[in-house]
Amino acid sequence: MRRVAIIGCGQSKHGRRTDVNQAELVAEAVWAAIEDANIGPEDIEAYAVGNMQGFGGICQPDLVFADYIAAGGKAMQRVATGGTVGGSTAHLGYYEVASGMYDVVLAVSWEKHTDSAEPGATTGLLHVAFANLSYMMKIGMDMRSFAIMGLAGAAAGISAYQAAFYMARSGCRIEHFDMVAAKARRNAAKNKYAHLKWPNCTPEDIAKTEMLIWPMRFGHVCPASDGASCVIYANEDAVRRLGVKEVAWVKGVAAYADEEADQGESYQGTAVVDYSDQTGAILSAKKAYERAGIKDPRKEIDMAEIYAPFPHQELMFSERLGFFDDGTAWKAVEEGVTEIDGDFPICPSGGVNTTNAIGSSGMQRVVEAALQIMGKAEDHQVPKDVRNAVAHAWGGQVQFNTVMVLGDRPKGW
Amino acid sequence: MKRVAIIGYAVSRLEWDAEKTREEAVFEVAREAMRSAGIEREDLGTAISASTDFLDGRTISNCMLIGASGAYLKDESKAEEDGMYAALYAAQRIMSGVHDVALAVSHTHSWIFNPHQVTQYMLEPWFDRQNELLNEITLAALQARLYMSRSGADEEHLAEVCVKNLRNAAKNPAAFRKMADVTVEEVLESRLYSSPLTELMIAPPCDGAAAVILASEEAAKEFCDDPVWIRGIGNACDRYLRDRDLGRLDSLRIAAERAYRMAGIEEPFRQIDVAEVTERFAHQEFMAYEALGFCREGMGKVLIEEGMTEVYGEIPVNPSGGALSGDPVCATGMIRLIEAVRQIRGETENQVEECRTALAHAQWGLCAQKNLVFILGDRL
Amino acid sequence: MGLIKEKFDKTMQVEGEWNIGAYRWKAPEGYLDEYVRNFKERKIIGTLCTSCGRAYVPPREICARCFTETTEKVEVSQYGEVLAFLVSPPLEKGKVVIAGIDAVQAGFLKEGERIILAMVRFEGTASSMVLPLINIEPEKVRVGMKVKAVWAEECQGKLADLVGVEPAFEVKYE
Repeated sequence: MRRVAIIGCGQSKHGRRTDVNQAELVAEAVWAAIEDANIGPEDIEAYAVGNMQGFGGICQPDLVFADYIAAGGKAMQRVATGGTVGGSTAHLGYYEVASGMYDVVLAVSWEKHTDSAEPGATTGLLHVAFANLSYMMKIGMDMRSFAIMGLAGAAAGISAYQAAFYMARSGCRIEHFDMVAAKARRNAAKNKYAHLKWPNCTPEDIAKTEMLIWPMRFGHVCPASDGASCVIYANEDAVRRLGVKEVAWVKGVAAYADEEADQGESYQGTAVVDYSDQTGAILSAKKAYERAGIKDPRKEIDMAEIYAPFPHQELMFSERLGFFDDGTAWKAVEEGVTEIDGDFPICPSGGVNTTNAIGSSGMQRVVEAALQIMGKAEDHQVPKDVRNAVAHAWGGQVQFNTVMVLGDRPKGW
Repeated sequence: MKRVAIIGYAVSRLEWDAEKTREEAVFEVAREAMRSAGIEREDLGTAISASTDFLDGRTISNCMLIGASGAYLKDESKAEEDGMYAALYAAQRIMSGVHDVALAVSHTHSWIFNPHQVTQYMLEPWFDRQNELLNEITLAALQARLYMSRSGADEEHLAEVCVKNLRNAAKNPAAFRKMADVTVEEVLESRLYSSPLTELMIAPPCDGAAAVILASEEAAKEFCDDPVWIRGIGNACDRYLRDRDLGRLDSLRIAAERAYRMAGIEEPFRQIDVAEVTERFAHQEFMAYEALGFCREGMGKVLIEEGMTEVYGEIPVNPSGGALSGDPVCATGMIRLIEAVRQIRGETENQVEECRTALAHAQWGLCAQKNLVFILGDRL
Repeated sequence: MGLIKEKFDKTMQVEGEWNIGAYRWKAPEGYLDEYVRNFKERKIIGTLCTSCGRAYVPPREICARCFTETTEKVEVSQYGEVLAFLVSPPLEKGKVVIAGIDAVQAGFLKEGERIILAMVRFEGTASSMVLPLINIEPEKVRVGMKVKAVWAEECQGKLADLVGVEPAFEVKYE
């Protein structure tokens, strides 16, 4: 099996980017990565791209600005898998190199929420359910039920349900969500690319925000950002040929899909009785660790970038990915284990809870994990020695999961 | 790099307003493909689907198709383009050695939303989309004019391509538009969409789904007696409309060169027995001839004049009828791939004699901006 | 930054929309029509996967786990349990706007009411459904409590006939 490394990372500044259009936003990240890897665009043989086109309103936007990212005449493949799209694009880039077809591949994913006229880019999100809603109206849903469905949907879609499930399962309280959200905002203040920054934010500050629908507060919800993230992969020979000094090796990837929660196509039922169950995440982690040769994730992995737009997901996924026992992550948060200087830092970059440009978010986890391994995370570099890190992404109807294990040495060294 | 073979496939009947949902269509082809490969869902390692959010009218169009595509608790992803790119991704996953058996499935119900309207959203939104005259068909007409003025081909040559493909399609039971007795005059006299393109020169959008099963060398030998091997892959993307030479398919030329190099093909005209290309518009078949190196530049019309690309010719192109016989947008390229596999296995209705090396081509984007070429063979 | 030499605060803006109204989605014939038709008799019908024994409510055509069609119909219990729940704050005007309509102003929802959304599993099924939980104070709701289906006074065979769920027994908590 080919050894694949990340040789360069790039991010655009995230936030409300009214100063650039979609093409310029992506170019910002791509050229930052090319400069970071200290190579030229001519060294790149193939591209992996991904975003959710409903949010920006351009169908196949990568074709429109192929020139902006120097992709003319080169191979380009595209994925789109909902919230996981950044993680899926990262996986696609990895597989393009690992397959032996290309030596140097650039993977970029992005989102431009402010292109959507409605605040918070609800257009793209609404279209997940629009077909189902139309059908439910047809078989006689009344406006009251429609409004009630919108109540939870407007807060945070299906994630509010998931938070309730997680609370019922683990016995944690809203205060723990406040603690996680406050940690995310504090960490984001140290990250120059992040969107929502709040230095010295405390759980009490979060607790003061409005309750959208119990158990989710306004302070728990991620923003809708604009942004792009990019990594460049190379195989072992190319790393040597290009003379790259700092790399992060990809040790294992996996992306196992679960069944959709809530409802299937046209209001069909599904056999998901616990949204916080996340069999897909458990299986993805298990397989990724197996491929990476990791036996005890809690001991061998040093930090994780978890895709958590809402605080309960950081707790939930840190359990599903094997860092804590089922239902105990909130105790670790109480003890400060997941802080930047803690024993097991989670999302030192601030995470998706503070910066959510859908397409970019999954890729940003990979970028941040790689930066921690290379020791280039600047102000939010964790003090402990990072040798193995996990980048996770989540999406779909709480069903898709991508897990990538990165290390300072390739597998088997 | 591990070798990859195609060991099973399934295509649904192409039709308009099919009496089935997306889920049913995908389930049928996925199950049928597994059956034809002789595998169970448990044998699958990974599943890649292909569909696009705009065509399906759903953000995350694959999220409610996990059960139907057999991807439940499988290593899964989605290619948001033609189904052949899903097959490419599936092949890459096998080549990397991570997986052994993969399913690639694609579908489009054109009835849900007019695909030609979707192409308006493919236009760059700042200037081009403001111009209401621009869409896939008018841009293709522009491309056709450019090609015709460069090569000296005229409308009748374009019509001859349609006649060839539609007649071939008449024997293909899955095809959507079949016309056994169509003539050049009928093609030219059908409704004018955008000069020089008439109705019969434009691939008719329809509903359809397709699936293929790919396997590594060891798995292929275990499950299948006559696997079809992927010998070469070439993939390239062109620049956006205004930045490229619209009258040439440069990206297809680059993709073909890569695929030929990988497969060790030096003289495509002689070494390739049959080609299945995606011609959304009649002139694109000529452009494909040239870009694939079947003839010199501008000589595409000669191949048609001499009948070389007929089923009995030196280099048969689209014996299945091609995209002109039915265009289920995301499945079109994958159906070309499947038809190439069937030719090598000797299972088609329009069988090319002694077919051992076949070429399949898929395009994506406005005026075939993106192109993908597979070279298939009956041996490694 | 490689490409953009000159910096501007704002880009030019052009308008456009994704014409979502033009889609004609297809839905499975038979399964869900029958589901709501049975509401008239106040019955809840699901489909049963004969391979793994899971009952799906609302009915589902394909069992993802077994990769088979679920052809058998079953009637399921009207009693179930609360797996988890959400509670809305007292509703106000301007807070719930759906498709441009203010749901409180239009009278779909009452001002000041608190809505409880319960994730319910009816006995014997493998699915959870989101339904409004009524006739109970939000403070008294507990995970695991038994509930039963509440039907409209006059059932017409529409989705709206199943109003929600209510506690199956009198709830006594301090």
